[in-house]
Amino acid sequence: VDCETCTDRMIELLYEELDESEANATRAHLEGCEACGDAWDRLSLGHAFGSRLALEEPPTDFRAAVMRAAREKAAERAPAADPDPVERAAPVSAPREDADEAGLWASFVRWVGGSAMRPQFAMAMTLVLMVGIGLWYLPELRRHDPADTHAIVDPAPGDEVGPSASLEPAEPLELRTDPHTGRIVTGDDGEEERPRRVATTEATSAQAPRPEAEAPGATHDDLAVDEAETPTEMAQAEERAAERQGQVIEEPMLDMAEGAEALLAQGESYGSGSYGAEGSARPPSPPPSQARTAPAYAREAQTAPMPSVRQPSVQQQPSPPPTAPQQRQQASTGGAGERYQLGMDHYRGRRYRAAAEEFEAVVRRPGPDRSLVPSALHHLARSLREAGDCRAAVRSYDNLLSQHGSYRGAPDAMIEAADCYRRLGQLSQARRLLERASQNAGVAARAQRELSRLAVAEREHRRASQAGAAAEAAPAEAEAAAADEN
Amino acid sequence: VMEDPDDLSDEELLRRFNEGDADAFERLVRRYERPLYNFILRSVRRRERADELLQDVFMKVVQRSRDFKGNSKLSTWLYTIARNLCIDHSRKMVFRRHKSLDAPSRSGDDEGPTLLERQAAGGPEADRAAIAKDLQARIAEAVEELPEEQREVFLLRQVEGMAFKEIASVVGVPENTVKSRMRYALERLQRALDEYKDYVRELK
Repeated sequence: VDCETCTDRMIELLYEELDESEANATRAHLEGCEACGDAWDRLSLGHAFGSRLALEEPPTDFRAAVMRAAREKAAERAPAADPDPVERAAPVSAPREDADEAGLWASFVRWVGGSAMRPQFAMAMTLVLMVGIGLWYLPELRRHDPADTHAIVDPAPGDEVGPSASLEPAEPLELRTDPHTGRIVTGDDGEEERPRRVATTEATSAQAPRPEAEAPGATHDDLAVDEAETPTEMAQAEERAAERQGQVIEEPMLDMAEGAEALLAQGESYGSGSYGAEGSARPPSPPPSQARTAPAYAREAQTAPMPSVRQPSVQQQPSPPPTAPQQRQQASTGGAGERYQLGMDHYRGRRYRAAAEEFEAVVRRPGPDRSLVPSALHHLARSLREAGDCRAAVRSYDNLLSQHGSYRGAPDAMIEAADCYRRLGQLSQARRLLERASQNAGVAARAQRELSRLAVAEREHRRASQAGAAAEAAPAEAEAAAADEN
Repeated sequence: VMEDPDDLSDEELLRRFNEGDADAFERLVRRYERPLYNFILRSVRRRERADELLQDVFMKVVQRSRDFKGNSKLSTWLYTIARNLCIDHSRKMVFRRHKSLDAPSRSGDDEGPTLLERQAAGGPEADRAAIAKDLQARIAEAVEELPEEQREVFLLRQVEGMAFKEIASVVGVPENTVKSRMRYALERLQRALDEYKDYVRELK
């Protein structure tokens, strides 16, 4: 017996649970090992103290209550004094309560009243429930990109009964600069091809009556939004339009408006174009004479497919009609819910162009349940962003943030839009969005990280600007020095 | 041949009760009320609460006597019920620690003379009875101050005389763990009551 074995056996030796041979071997070791002997002395002393623990006498009054209950129970279980033949044939052990409470239901009730109501059971069930919900929810989160911090609501399919005004502006727009005024005008012959805009100009300048091309539902504010060319004008016009629609305008609208102005300055058409190669197969754009108002838009959506989101080129080229497979695909697609789901499938499969088309269709034709629109718009923007088309993406983000300010994914959208602006070199826009997003507790940490990232880009931008200015100044100084020498 | 009911096993008494014999149950009560009461009392430390819990244990046995399948000893089942009731009570009282009413605390410096002071104040013989009484209280206090997992093992072994294997079944841990807890409990008692070691050795 070594010291370890001896230590293990001490307790059993103390309480006489070792067999004779083991006990003798352990005692022999204890006599020869000083350390184990000391430990044995301590344990023996503790045992001596413990064995002197006085036992208290129990109360006697409890026994009466217990025995009363026991007698009642025994009386229930005891066989009857003069049982009839049927009862006599029954097993003696069969209790009366079992006869009364026989069946699965009685067992269940006893179970619920007994072990199922224990606190441990309740805690365990709560834990199981939480783990179960967690396991169910995790795969849902994994389907989305890391930036997606809000759940995607799978929609119920709805009927297509009308278009959506959410994807505005989506009308193809060709930009030209008026040589007289220096302002941007649309189309080669904007005054003829786009009487709506002319009418708006006239309405705003000379209060002239609108031409017939303007749909009955068109409002001055709707058109003023399109006509606005400066950030302030756009913001004010959209705010007026939103007020008429009972919407709440938030600050990002102004930020986006400024960003949109910057894009317009670069010659980008606002709300027109295609997704590139895929977009080239789209049908021709609707006649520009149709006013982009809700009723007119509804007729347009029901009669002709909507144009693509944008076209990088200034000149809008009519797209060829859809091919037969595409027509079949369009015919096979169901309501907004189905198209939304299809878009999500494409998005999860990283087919962002196809996803964008589906989300755009949902935004345009949301059906009776318009709750899908914000999420579809958000995913349209995300799809465009993932496809590398930041310019188109910021327009969708713009629409989302200006028209659905209370959308729960708005803080995420701000961060994503800021990323697009940063990539486009619009650093001030990106900063404004991130600073606004940082005020939201849910995304504050992410926004701060993006702000740090943006700060680096801003420093590099300043450094590059200073280097460029120095490079421009250097030849001038050299020329001046040469002139002085001459 | 008349059978002596005291010779009947616990399991046989319970079987008879299940068949309607209330006297069999009374024998069980008398057999277990004292060790169960002391196990509960040292666990919950309050006499009035121990009274209630003791009654609760037997009432549960009355109501659920048919749940006992005989896979273990009846004593194991009884102490499992008692232990669960004590644990429930401890959870309720976790924010309100109560000192034992039957064991006055001696841990403070101003709560009475030490053993050496007693012996110095009076003759050994004159104070011997007082020391014995004081030791009883100190042992009870030391047991109550054991960690809960050590205390229950100690009580089951010391009060009920359960084998370590049976204790493992009640507590739900391996037998070696039970032995370790028992060893720690005895070492704690030895340290807590070290000033009485000479007195106890004399008694041996």
